[in-house]
Amino acid sequence: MKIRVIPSEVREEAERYIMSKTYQSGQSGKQQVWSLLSEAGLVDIPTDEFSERVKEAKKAVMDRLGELLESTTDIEERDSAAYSLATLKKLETALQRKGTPRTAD
Amino acid sequence: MRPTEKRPDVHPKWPSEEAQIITFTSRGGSATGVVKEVRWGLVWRDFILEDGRVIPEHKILGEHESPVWRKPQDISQDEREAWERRLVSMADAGLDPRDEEQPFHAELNQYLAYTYLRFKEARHKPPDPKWT
Repeated sequence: MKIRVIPSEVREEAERYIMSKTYQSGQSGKQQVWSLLSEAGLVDIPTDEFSERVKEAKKAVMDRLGELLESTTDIEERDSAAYSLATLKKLETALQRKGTPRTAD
Repeated sequence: MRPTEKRPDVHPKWPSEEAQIITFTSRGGSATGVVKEVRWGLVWRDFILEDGRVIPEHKILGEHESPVWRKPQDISQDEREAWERRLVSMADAGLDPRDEEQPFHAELNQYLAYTYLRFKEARHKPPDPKWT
């Protein structure tokens, strides 16, 4: 298979697109963060969705940890991500011990 | 009321240091309470009421300064790890995060929001936006 190098202008456009999805232009930082957290359901987590949100957070940390493990730099960030992952695992276990999700009153 | 702890990066002007009654959105509609303390979280400020309930700033109703939020990169490793240790000890003590307006619920909510922002930002590396 022939590997082609992506032209820089195409790559830059792709990066701009990703950034526009992350921080929409025309919004202040606070509004952008508010939108991000609202879309992720993290501004006000419903009582019966904590387990699910912990799982999602674990996935986000693991994705980043995967990237960091490929890099020989960022050792500090790697250690801190691993620590956070351990915290999330403990929280997940504690939530599981609590039993089946309680229905919101 | 105990004043908000000072932070070098953000300078909210409210609430004043006098005792203050706030109205906020709650499951049953709106509710009121007397503020005992305002505490910085990993993303937003929490208003601790005299009866122990914890209300995030963005749930407070009425005319006041808009909520002040912190950037994930402004959280030190020590602060993050202290927060993580506290969460684990609350979980080990058998507290349930599904108890609304209670400290474990409030702290776990902020931690998950912070973790999401921290790792989303690290992966996409967006430009540093203005937070005001």
